[in-house]
Amino acid sequence: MEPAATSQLMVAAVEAPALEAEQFESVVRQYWPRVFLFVLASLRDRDAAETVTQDCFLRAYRGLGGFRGEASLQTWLMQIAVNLVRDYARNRRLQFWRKTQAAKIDVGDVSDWMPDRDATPEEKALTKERVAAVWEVAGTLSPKQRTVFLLRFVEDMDLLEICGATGLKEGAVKVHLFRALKAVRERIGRAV
Amino acid sequence: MNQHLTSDQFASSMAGESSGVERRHIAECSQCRDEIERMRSTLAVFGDSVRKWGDAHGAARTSFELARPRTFAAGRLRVALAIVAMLVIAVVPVTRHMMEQRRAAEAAMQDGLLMQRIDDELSQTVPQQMEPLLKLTSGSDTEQQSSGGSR
Repeated sequence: MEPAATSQLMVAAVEAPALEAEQFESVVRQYWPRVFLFVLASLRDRDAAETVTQDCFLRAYRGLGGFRGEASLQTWLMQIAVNLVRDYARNRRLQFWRKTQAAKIDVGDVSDWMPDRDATPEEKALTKERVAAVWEVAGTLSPKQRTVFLLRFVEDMDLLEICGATGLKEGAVKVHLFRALKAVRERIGRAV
Repeated sequence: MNQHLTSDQFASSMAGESSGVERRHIAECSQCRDEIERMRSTLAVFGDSVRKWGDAHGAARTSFELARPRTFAAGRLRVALAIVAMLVIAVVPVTRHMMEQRRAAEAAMQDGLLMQRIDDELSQTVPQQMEPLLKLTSGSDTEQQSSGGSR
């Protein structure tokens, strides 16, 4: 962890009661994998994903008092993560490093991680090609389209949950999702 | 059934937002049904693959740790350690300074003794080795003076 983040955590720990801290650790254990996965799939940079996820839980911890339970805890955490991913992408100071990281660190193609299924080698090869195409298209989508697409098909969130996580109206979520699906369909059509 | 699903209808069906018309068409049109089924299957495998890929890149590892609020005992221990550290920091330079002062005083005393010895030697009229002769000489002078005086 970075020194700045550590000091912030110390400050947060002093500000929050002990019971909340203990409860929050169980929240972190439960939701970290999902938040990290979304951030990693969005940024495709492991180090950046780690930093952003840390920041997400830090902010959640500091804002725990303001959580009213109107949305689920997962939706609330995702909302913070979505905002941080958006801010990260906007942060021009990191643009250079993002490009450098993208050139240096190969996080791999998700099609290499396909689950084992009963299928013929030909079917597996075809599915692998399609999954690789989806992954490729997801990387070219606009930030909002990508966010909605990943929340829907990686995080398995329904439209209302996506609305809660992104702060978008249902109509806007549908528009972004439809555009993403159109792009995927076109690409898969070419891949097949 | 000449008209297949439009791009928007296809997307809305994929998103689970299909209308009755679209659902009827999918039920009757094997081509659209197959395409939707293939797309759903691909996206399901995609989701599984991303989750597996994420696990391989550390998604399952939680690297977040909150600094625990201090307990009373831990707080006292920290305070005690801090005091000890402050004492060490304060005492070490003072001790060092005192030792240096003592060393300097010893050196000054040695120097003083040496200077005293040099002064003593310089204040002598004849070298130390010739002192017996000086005694002899001074003894005969005394005798001559005493004999001359008795005359």
